[in-house]
Order: sequence, then structure tokens, then C-alpha cells
Amino acid sequence: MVSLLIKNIPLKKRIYSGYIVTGILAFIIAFLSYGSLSTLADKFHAVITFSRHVEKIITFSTHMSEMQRQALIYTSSGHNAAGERVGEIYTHMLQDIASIQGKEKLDSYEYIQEAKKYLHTYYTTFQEVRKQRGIQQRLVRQEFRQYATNAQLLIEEQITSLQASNSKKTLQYYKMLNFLLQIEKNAYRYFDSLDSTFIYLATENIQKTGKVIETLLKEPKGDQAHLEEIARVLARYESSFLEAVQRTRGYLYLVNVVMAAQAYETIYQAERLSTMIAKNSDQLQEQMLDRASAISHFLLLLSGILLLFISVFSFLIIKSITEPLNRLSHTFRRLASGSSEAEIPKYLLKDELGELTRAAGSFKERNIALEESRKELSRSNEELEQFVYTVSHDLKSPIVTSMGFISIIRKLAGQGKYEQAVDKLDKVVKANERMSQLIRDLLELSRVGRMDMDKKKIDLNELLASFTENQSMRLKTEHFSFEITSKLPVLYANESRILQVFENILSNCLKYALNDKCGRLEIHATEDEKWWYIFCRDNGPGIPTEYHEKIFGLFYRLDSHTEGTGVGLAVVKKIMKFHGGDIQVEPQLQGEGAVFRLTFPKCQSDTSHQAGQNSKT
Amino acid sequence: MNRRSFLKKSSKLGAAALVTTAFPNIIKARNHKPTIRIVGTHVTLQEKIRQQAEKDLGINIEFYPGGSAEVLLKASTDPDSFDLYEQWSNSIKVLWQARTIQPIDTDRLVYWDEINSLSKTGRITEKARLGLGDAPYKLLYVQANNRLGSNATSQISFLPYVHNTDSFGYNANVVKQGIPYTTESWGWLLEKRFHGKVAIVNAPTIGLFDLALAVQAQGEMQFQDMGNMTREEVDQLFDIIITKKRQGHFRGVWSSVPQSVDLMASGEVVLQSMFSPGVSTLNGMNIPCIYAAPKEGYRAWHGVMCLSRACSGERLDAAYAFMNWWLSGWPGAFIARQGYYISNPQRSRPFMSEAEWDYWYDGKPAAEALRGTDGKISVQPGTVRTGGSYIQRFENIAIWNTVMDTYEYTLPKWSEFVLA
Repeated sequence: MVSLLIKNIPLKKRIYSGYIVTGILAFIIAFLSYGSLSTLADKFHAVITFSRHVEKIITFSTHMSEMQRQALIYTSSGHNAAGERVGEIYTHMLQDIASIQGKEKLDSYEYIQEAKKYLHTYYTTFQEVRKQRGIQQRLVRQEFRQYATNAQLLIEEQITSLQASNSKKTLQYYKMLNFLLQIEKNAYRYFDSLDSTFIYLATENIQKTGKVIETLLKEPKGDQAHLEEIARVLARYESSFLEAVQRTRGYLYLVNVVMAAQAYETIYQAERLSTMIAKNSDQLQEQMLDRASAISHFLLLLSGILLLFISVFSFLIIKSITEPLNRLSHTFRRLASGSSEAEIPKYLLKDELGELTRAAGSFKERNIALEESRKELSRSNEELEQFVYTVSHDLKSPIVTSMGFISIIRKLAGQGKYEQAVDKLDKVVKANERMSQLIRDLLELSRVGRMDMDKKKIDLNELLASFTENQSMRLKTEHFSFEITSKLPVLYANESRILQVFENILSNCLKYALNDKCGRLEIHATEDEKWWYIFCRDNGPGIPTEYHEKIFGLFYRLDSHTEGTGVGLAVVKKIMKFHGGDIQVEPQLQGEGAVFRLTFPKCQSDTSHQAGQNSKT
Repeated sequence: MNRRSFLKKSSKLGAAALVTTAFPNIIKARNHKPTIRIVGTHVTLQEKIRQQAEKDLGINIEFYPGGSAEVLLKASTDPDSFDLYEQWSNSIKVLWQARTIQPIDTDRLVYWDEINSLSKTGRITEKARLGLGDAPYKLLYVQANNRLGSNATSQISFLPYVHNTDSFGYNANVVKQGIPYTTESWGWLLEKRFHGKVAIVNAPTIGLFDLALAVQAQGEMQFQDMGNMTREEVDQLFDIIITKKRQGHFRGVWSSVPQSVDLMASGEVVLQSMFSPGVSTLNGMNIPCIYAAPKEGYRAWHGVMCLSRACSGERLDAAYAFMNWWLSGWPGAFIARQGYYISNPQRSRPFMSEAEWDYWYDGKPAAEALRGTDGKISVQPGTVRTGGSYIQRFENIAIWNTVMDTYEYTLPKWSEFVLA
């Protein structure tokens, strides 16, 4: 996981992604918490609503009872205020029902509808009660009383008209008057007591009055018209009384039977509704508690998971940062100690750690270069020691030779052998000449890298063509051929020194070429990504492997009988080093000649130039 | 021609004769159809009956069905609003007292002689119990003093026609089925095992007697005359039932047959006062409602048809024709299919199948599936009507629905009971 992060996600992105992921998770937790708490709030709101509904429904029952009480007051006393109060309560209850129905979609909707239906029937019935009671009141207070008064007046009028002329008839009229009073008395007793016995008494007196009228009508000098008028009034009187009785029974039935049942059912449904809502509220509260508990557990769990995730994620991020940093610091410590072998950790991303890694790489390269320099210095010191030894040894040799011959000459001269002594002088001269040659070659060797070392682009094809031409006489004399068998590169080098390299190689070949066949030196070039390789192959005896390195040493000669100072190849080596290249002897089988491989570093300009040159040729 | 077809044919001929003899004025006025207005309850004011009557009589008939209280108030206060009034015998006292109905001449009733003794004497058989309260015969005849009584005269206050016995119904899924006339008792209405699951019909002239029978069956009180309680007895009765109501024994009261069905179907009630259509409806809903045959006897009711005081002329003729039509056979058979009896059942027999007669009147098991007035099967084969035959039922009348002298006194008491 860590390596995956290190390989694929840059440092900044890793840090940012850590914050972003943590932020997203925190947001998710906040969002989930919000959602859960919102649900809880909704349920809490529902509980509050339920409580309000229960409160309303409780008052609903109270209102219903009060409404029935007011209805009974109205029925018994006829107080319009009580009747109006029933209407007010009804309207108020309808508003309560509407508010309960309107705000929430309740399971108890059916019960509300039932209660509403009963309430509506109740109020409709009450309207009928008011109507019936109104009619009853009109009958009792107006019609009934009016007919009673009319009948009484008609009878009294007749009594007055009769004077004392007909005492028997007058008595009958008084009897009627008495019956009328009995009717009225019993009628009002009925309306007061609602005892149906008084109805019978009243109707009995009506019948008795009717019988008196019938008796009087039978008399010869009867006042038929007057009596018939009394009978008509009496009939209306009876009719209005009986209608009032039925209206009374009607509204009493409506109030005490119909309305009572509607009121009870309304209250019953309201209480059932109240119970249901209270039960729902309880359930909801339990659900709320469960929910709250579940939410707290959920949030706790989620927080734990988030903490764990953040810990793991942070660990991974930190690990992905510290691991390469630790590796780098270890590397830097080794690099600081001068190690050129410190391992540079692989880090491919181009971020700050990548920069550090690359810096470590540069540090290592410098250490390697330093190590190379140190080795080179050491080698130089060794070479210098060798050089000093060699020089002192090789320069000492002609001096010793000269001193030996001088001693001989002195001895010969002492003996007087002057001619022999003079002959020996040539030896001294040769020894001095050799020493002089050695000193020149040493001088030349010392100049390499110090003098005449300006570099420029040189086309090796042209340079060697010119070289061949210049050496043609010598080559011809030595029966030696110099062949360039492939295209040669353009090099950035010192022309005279490069020419010196090929001169020395050619001289070396000429010295060691086999005498029994024509000598040959082939030049060809190859290349790879970084280097040009110039191969110089001769057809001489070759160089044994054990001398492949030694031959580049100062004053080293494979054959001491051959002329030369043994400095030429050392000069070549130094020139090649100066150009950043090298010269080596390629391993060959015995008798296949020697192959010198010159190595020149490539550079962009060289390459392009070579291409340019090639395009010209 | 067998006996049944002969009877059927002769009955139809009789009906035709009825139209021509009892309704001569209408026949004469071929181009004029009088209209009669009939106020009553849904029990008999059914559309099929109206259509059949119009078809048979050639007159226009308007039905004005309504609730019991509503139609009684209308009939007792506004005789001009109706020609005929159909309700229960317990309304006769009120109507006669209100002077809104006129006597009916038995001479104009074609089938008067066929009306059985239940309506005329109060006993269906010699050994039958005489029910308490306002037995129809007590209010049938118009006496010389213009009061109603049992002495036969040529004028009657109402035409006796549809009648039945009522009791309580119970859900056999909950209540163990009792033995008719033996263990089934009105006292069940007050048994503690049904606490909170009992309902009573909301009518003081009916439900009060269910409660009185129950209280008496439980031995909690005795009545001097249950059919005409004194105020003291009313007070004592209500003290008992209001106490029980306050203790939560009663679920409440019901004001209509559908409400009684809903109460039992919903399970709120397992035992309650019931009417026959409610029991049939519940059985149709696969709720085994048993219509009890209480050992104390039934509470009976009698349908009455009264003539408005304001009815006269051709409308009076048409009203008589309609009354005679009701006893002519077809209506009695029609109403039998919803469990009600007619006062001259033999006239209806030809209009019923043998299986129908056996089941509805003879109390025998249904030989085949029987259809109700709506054409749907209401009785499955093998079913036996509870309470036995027509005779057996009406031999066991405990009380008739009655308007007592203490009627007004019972009303506020009833309200107190309902609201307790």
C-alpha cells in the first residue's frame, strides 16, 4: 500500500488527499448525523403534534359534553343563548377537527371522520330540535293560548248575553268555562312536568267540552252559530295542544335519544382517537429513544471507523513520506561520508522527494567523480613515482654508460692508447645522444596536456588522408600500407596531438612489423551510444597479453633491441586520457597482429558534425 | 293443477278482483292516476314493493322513508304531508292521541277476515303467551268513546300486516352457542363475561325493554308490569343500567342496522340487541351471528299501516287499495324473504316456494339455497332459522315494543344512560 502510494502519488497530492479524504469523511459523518437528527427532529415534531392533538381531543370530549349540557339547557329552558352556544361549540370543534386533519396524515383518519360524522348528525339534529321547540313554543305561547282565550271569550260573551234568563243554559256555559280552565291547567301541567297523564286529562276535558256543546246544540233555542264557532275554536285549540305535545315529544326524543347517542359516539370516537394518538405517541417516543440510541451508537461507531481510517490513512501517508526520507537521509549520510557506492533509492515521481533523490544521485555522481579523481591522483602518484624511478633509472643508464666509457677513455688515455680512447668517445656520444633523446621524449610527454592542446572539430577522415599522404614516402620505403577501411568520425580534439597518436602508432607498427611480409595498418571506426571506437590493426607479431598494459608504461619496450625510448605509447596514452578517452590493446590470437583500440567520447556537437561531414562526403 | 298452483292462480284472480272491487273510482277514471304519499321506514318502503304496487294497482305511489323518530314526528304533527303511514304498533298511541290518523273501516279491507289472531287477540294459539306492553290487539279497535281498545268494532286504528320477533344477537365465534328457549337468556346482556362488548338499540320504546328483560333475568329487579313501568320502576331500572354503563359494561347504543352490523363486524361488540336484517347481513359476511331465542321470550313488534286524517276522496280509495294489496299475497311473500311475517300468511304461501315456506314459516331446515329480497342467496341449504316456526316464535312473546305512560319520563333517563 505504502509502496503503491510512493510509486503513484506525488507528495503534495498525498498530503492534500489525506486532508480531503478526512474532510469528506467528516462531512459524511456530519451529513449522516444531520439526517439522523433530522429524522429524530421529525419524530419529535410528530410527538409534539400528537400531544397537541391529544390535548385538542381531550378538550373535544369536554366540548361535546358542554355542548350536550347547553343543548339540554336550551331544551328545558328555551334559552337562545344556550342554543347559540351549541352552535359556537360546534364551529369550534369543526375547526379543531380541521386542524387535526389538515396538519398531519394520521392513521386515525377513519376515527376522525367517524367523530365528524356523528358531530354533524348531532348538530343537524339539534337544528331540528330548535325548529321543533320553536314550533312548540309558538303553539304553546301563541296559538294554544290564543285559542284558549278566544274560546273563553266566546263562552263568557254568551254567558253575558244570557244574563239570568236561562240559568240552566248559563250553567252549561260555566261548565264549559270550567272545562276550558281544566284543559289549560292540565296542558300547562303536562308541559311543565312532561307527565303524559295530563295529556289524557286535557283531552278528556276537551271531549267533555265537546259534549256540552253537542248538548247545547240540541236545544231548540240554541245559539247554533255561536256554539259552532266555539266548537271550531275548541277543535283548533285541541289540535294546537296535541301538535304541541307531539312537537315536545319530538324534540325530547331528538335531544335525549338521537343527540345523546351522537354525542356519546362522538365522545367515544374522540376518546378512542385520543387513546390511539397517545398510543402512537408512546410508540413514537419509544422509536425516538431507540433511534436516538441507534444514532449515538452509529455515530460512535462511525467516529471510531473514521478515527481508525484516519489513523491508517495518516500512517500510510506518513510512511509514504518518512520511508523515502529515511532512505534518503541514510543515503545522504553515506554520501556525506564520501561513499560513492551508497544506494540511491528508486523514486520516479517528480515531487520534492524526487528532487531530493535526484540531488542524492548528483551527490553520488560527485562522490564517484571524487573517487575517480582520488584514484587518478593515486595512480598519478604511482605513475609519478614510477616515472621518477624510470626516469632516474633510464637516465642513469646512459650516464653510467658514459661514465664507464669515460673511465675507459681516461684509462686508455692514461695508457696512451688514444686511438682506442677516441673510438670509445663515440660510445659516450651515443650514450649522451640517447640520454638527450630520452630527455626530449620526456619533455614531449610532459607537454601533453599543457601545451598545444587547443581543441577543435577535426574530421578524422581528412586528417588521416593528409597523414597518409605525408607518410607516403616512409610507408613506401618500409613497404607498409596504411588503409582506412571505414568512415571515420569528426572529433573534438587537438589536431596535432591526434596526429601524434597516429604517428606513434604507425611508428610502433613499423618498428615491430615482420620483415618477411609487407606491413599493414588498417584503421576503422565503430560507435555506440557514448563512444567512438577507432581500431588500428596491424599484421605484425602481436602483443602478448601480459604486456597489454605494460607497453603503455614509460620507457617500456617489448624488444630492447629495437630503437626508441619507450615513451611513444606512453605519450599516446596521455593524449587519449587528455581527450577523455583511452587506448587499449585488443586481445588477439598469437600471430594475428596487434589491435589498438582508441576510445573517444561522443558529444552532441561531434555527432551532429559527423552527420554533417558525412552528408558532405 | 296441484294445490299450490291452484292457490297461486286463485290468489292472482283475487288480487285482480281486489283492484276492481276495492278501487272502483280509479277504474272508472281510466285516464287519471291518483297519487298517494306513504311515509314510513326502510323496512317496508322498498323500491321493489313500490314498483310492484304501482304495476298491480295502476296508481302512482310515492315513498318517503325516514328514521323512526323523524317519520313519527311528521305523522303526528302534519297529517297533510302523507296519506298512509307505515311504522310500528308502538307509534299508534302517539298518532291516535295526536288525532292525525283516521279510523280504517274493516268493511273495506278485502282480507280482514284472513288476518290471524295474533293481531286481533294477542295470541297466535290458545296456549301462546300474551306479551306485555302495547300488544297490537290492545290498540287495534276504535272504541265507542273514540279511544283504542281490544273490543272488536268495525273500525280499526291500523292495518296489521308485517311483524316479527326481536331478541339479541351474539357472535358464535366468541360466545359459546346456547340452546334456544333453554339457555339463551336476555340476562346475557348483563353478564360480566361480555364486559365492554355489549350494545343496545338506541330507542327507549325498544331498547329499554331489552334492558328490563335482562335486569329481570339476572334477578336484579322485578316489575309490576314491565309493559307499563311506574316512575319508581323506571328510576330503579336506570339506576342499575347506568351504574353498569359507568362501569364500562356497555360499548354503547346503536341507532341504525348498519351501525349494529359494524359494531359486531369490527369486534367491538360480541352481543347486542339486534334486528333480523342485521343478523342476515352479518351471516352474509360469514360472521356467525346467532339470533337468540331467549327463554324469557321475545320482544315483538308489529308493523302498522295508518290512514292520515287528511286522506280523502280518490286518495282514500287508493290508500285502501294499497292496504288491500299488501295483504293480497305477493308483498307477504316478498317480505318473508327478509325474515318478516305477514298477518295473513296463507295468502302469501302460493307466492313462495315450498322450501321458502318451510324455512321461513315452518322453521324447517332449508331444502335448497334461498334468495333474499335482493336476489342474492341469503340462506344456505340445511340452515335452520333460530327460534323455530312462526307459531313457536309468537307463542313466546315476552313483551311488545311499547310507548309507556312514563315515555316522556324515560327520555332524559335514557339520555343519562346513553351518555353515562
